[in-house]
Amino acid sequence: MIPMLQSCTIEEDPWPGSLTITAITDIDGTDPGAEVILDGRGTAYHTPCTITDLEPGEHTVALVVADYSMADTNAYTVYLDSDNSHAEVEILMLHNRGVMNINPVNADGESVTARVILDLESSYPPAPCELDVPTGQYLIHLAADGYTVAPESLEVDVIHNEMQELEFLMTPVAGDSYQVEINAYDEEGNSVEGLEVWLDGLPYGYNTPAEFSVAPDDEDHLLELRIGYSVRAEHLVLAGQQGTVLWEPVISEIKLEIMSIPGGMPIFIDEQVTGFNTPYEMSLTGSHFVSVGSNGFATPLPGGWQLDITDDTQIEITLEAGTDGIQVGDVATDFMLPLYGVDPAGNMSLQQFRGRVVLLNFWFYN
Amino acid sequence: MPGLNTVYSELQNQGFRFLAVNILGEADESNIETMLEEHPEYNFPILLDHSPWIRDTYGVIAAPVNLLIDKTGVIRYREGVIEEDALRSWVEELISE
Repeated sequence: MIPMLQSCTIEEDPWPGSLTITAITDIDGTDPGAEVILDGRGTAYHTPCTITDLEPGEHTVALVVADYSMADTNAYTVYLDSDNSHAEVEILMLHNRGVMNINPVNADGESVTARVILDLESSYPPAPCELDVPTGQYLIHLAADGYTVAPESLEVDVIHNEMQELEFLMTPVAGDSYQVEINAYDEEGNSVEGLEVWLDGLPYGYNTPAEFSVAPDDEDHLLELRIGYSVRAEHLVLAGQQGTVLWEPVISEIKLEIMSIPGGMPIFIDEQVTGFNTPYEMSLTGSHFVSVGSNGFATPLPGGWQLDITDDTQIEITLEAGTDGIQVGDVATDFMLPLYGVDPAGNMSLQQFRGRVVLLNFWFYN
Repeated sequence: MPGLNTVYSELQNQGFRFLAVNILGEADESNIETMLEEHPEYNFPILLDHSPWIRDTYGVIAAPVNLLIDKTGVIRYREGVIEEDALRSWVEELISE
């Protein structure tokens, strides 16, 4: 604990208004701790909370929290004046999730274990299962070694707080299955794990290193190894295959190369400083938020770029002189943030310092 | 930072305030502790930015960024690294308004 920070003083010069905001869910009436959007701007407040020092006049309130949405999608409007300087708002939040009950069964109605592929993603528990997912439309496939599946795919509308019953007919394929064994390696001979195995253009529910059986038929089958939707290797299995298919492809590393004009700018990945400056090449896959910048320059889009890196990627960012966001001559937007080193935990807002000259310093320690 | 703290110590009694917003939030807390051990004279409040909207709102894509705000809440200066003498001059100018 840092005693000197406890002694800092906060000047009081508040507006008279205050607003108490609570949220309740339609499921159990509890407060989900939603982030408060006040007058169209995000805040550091979470429900239940009381925001003080509010200017008289009209204010709008909206709430944001994972898995819930406001029952009324419009922001709530409250009016504060000298006679009504305090207002209370309670906002109903709907649980925007539903359930898919997935049942793969054979002709006798008995359960069969199958891998679940939802919107071409295979990282779900095997069926039979109940999947709790956000509301919306999904494309579902099932896969099981030695079985054909009907229907091959199903489009499902998951509705708020409801369960969808989904049944798939699993039919065993006659004849001896052949085995497939896949081991991927990088250029230095190290095993590459976690690559998705796709069969005939669909995820097959396995990741490298993988070993599984495939039902025999009279068709050729295309095996692929993918990262996201990027094919990193492919292998054709001819019709009539028997025994074991051993496939050991060499996978090249995926590189992200970040350049900027001017160069030498610090690189941020997922809003964390990397310690690297442009130009720089790094090994990176998946979805990441990339930004580059320095004092006196601004990226063309505030904050950076959301990149879905599934293959070698090269970005060149032309930085513009000047800065995005609030500029000289603008009124500084209020915020409330937790104080470091103060016990018990306290917050401080910019508004508390109205009437003072304030130096607002954004920094990190390096 | 030492220069900023010097000006803050000198002009605090005239109404000048210095807020340091750490843009890495909790992830930088151990480094903050180290910094305060190295600089026990620092007496300005340190705020932890847990939500990126503040950085987005203020257009902070690298650090440091210094904003000097006048008594009415208007941003009058926006700088990266800021020199102690320049800061002192600007703060005195804004205090006198």
